[in-house]
Amino acid sequence: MKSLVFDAGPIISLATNNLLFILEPLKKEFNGKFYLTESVKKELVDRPFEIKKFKFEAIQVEKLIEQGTLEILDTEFIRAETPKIFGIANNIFNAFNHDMKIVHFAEMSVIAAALDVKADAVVLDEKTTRLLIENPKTLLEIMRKTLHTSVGINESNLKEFRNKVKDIKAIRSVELVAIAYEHKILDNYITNIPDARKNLLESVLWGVKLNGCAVSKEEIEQIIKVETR
Amino acid sequence: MHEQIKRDILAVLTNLVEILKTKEEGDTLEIKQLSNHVIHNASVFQDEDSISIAILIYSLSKIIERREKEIDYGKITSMLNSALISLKNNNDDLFRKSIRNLFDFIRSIDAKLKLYIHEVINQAQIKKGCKLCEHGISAARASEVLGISRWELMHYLGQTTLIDQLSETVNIAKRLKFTRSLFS
Repeated sequence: MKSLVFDAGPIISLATNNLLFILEPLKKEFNGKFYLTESVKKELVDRPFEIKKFKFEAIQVEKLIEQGTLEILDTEFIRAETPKIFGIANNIFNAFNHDMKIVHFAEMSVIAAALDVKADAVVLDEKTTRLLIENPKTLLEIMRKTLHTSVGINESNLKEFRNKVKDIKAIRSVELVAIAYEHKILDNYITNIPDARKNLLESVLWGVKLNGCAVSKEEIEQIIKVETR
Repeated sequence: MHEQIKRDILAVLTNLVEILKTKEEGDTLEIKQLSNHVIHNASVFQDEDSISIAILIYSLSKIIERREKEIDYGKITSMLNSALISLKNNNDDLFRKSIRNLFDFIRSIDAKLKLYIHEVINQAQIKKGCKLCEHGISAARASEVLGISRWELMHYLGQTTLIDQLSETVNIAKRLKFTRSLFS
């Protein structure tokens, strides 16, 4: 069975843009499962319920869970593997002889879940975890540049982490939105204004960027170029 | 408390006391910049002390920015000096108590001036969370360290140019092609 495992970030980017509705038709086109882990659900739903901010958005996410569009994946493997991956990832970089905790438990549960169900991809909007999967040396460069101090790397832990994630592919909410556009899922919003389709695409891509999806201005320009050719 | 943290907090608070000795026009900007000095340690150690000092200093800058004339610099300086003495004497508990007292004092100003200090502190937490992300800490972890919701931080992060300064490791055309393959 095909599957995607979502981190909280892309759901937040979609929810804050009123774009959660694209998930159901996308799931049909995907013909597989859209998963959330228990820890991700906590960040998405439980926390806003406690603090009230973004509570309505959280209710919309809860509704998708209750409808089955998003399914909660909670297995023995995830419960056992998440703390291990979390421990390794947070002991890769160090400064002042101190291991830097750079990721959250929930993010690592996404990786554990992806390994468990052999997911086709993880959906991650955040740059740190994505860089850790795709190119940890870039992350090291960022740390060295911004912290203005020497940052060390535990090569053995890095190797172990990379070995775990070697088959994991990452996509972002911005790519999901582009696919929704391609599949005419957003067509209800085509207006009579000039260049309506292009404007629509531009608006949703910028929308997810401005609500936290780590995508650059140049990448958005490239997507628009490709999609409106 | 780690020596590195202690050294930096001492330097920053001493600097803050110097700035507050006389009211000048550029005070708020200088104070805001000071709050970023301890945030480097907050990224590495993610300790309560660096984080609370960063938030305290940023909140102070915002309060002074809004109501400079009505703020009693003398009272704040004296409380900061108490905190400095405790830290110099390696009395970490008393230092933390002094910092808590400073936060209480800020809240008491709110009761008088209606500055919505809760919002100011929340904004400070979000700003500092963003700084942590700039240093390579994930937004989820930064939210956890600062005690804010990821929803709040994501929204703020999106308004920054943080991502535009970073070159992607996977080409967008390649990532889009892969995503398209999943949905065909």
